[in-house]
Amino acid sequence: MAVLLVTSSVALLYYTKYQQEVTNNENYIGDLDSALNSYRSLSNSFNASLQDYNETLSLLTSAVADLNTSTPAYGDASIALATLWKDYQALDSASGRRAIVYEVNMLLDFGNGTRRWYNDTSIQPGWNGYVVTLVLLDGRVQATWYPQYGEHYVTGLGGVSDTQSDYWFLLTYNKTASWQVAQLGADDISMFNDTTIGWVYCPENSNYAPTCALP
Amino acid sequence: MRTSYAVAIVAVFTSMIIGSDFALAGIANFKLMDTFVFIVAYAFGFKPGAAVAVLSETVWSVVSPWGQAGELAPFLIGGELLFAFAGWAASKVWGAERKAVSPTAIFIGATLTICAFLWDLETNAAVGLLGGAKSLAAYLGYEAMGVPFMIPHELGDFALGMLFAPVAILMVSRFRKVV
Repeated sequence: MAVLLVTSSVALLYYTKYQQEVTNNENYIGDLDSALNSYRSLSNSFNASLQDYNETLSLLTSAVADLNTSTPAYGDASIALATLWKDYQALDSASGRRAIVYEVNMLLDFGNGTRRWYNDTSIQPGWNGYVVTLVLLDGRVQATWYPQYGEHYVTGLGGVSDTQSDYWFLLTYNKTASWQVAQLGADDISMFNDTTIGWVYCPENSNYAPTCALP
Repeated sequence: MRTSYAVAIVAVFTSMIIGSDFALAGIANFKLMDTFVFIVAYAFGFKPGAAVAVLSETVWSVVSPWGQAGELAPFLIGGELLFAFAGWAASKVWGAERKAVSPTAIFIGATLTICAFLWDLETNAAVGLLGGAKSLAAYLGYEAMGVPFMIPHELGDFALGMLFAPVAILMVSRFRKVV
């Protein structure tokens, strides 16, 4: 009788404990569901924010490409653009997805033996040669904007400005013709995957062509 | 010229200019605007030509895919009137065009090139003015930097003036007789 009483008491105790655990478990499941919903909502908000970020970058790029280069807004925006683009790529990478980007290459030849390559650099589709140069050089581009032609005349890159004798020349590259002096301004050069452009700083001849050897 | 007829001419040519400007936006500094303004002024007189020049340049200064021209717009519009004046003056010199291909075509091309050159000089000076140029050397600098952009503009105007304008003037003149 005593054994039966003890066994029953133990069984009752453990049943009570079991019920408590079941209740706790249900609470945890509820909390987890709630947390999961919050996470999904946060994730959706993050993705929406990234999309907004992307659109803002596109708008800022358009503004920088069309702003008068002598305005303070242009100076601020062109410097900020490079930083914002890097931040965007970091955030986008953290989100686990990969935005559609083009990989392009740019060469900066200072004409004194110093060459700086920007290889496989990610850019936003739609950027032209001028915007790419601006972003890769962190805004260190001097130029005059001619709204009537929709073109920039570049007078300085990476802290080196045109002089009476030396100028920056824009080059294009393809595998068959190698490097050629661009027939279009940087604004008119569309950048696609694997597009390569270059800038070379050197004197010009009487035909306004660079006198130095192309890379 | 009847008012309704003049309004129709201005509206049609302005629309064609804006449409073609967008269509040709991908080709650097190659536009039909100058040639169309010249053609209208040649075929219909200075006033319709000037109206087309002012309207089309005003609209383009706002809706251009390269952004709004802003303070430069009055200079662009004023410069475009050159083409209207040249078209009207050319019609007084050469009269009604009767052949699509004639030596006059070269002169029309040359006239448009000179107008494009003056337009480029004036607008580049305006860029200098708005950019804060204070000396003659600074203005000349702005003009010099604009040269790479001026060349395709002037070559384009010469080609269109020589090849397209005489044909268009002939067609428009025939259409005018029908109306």
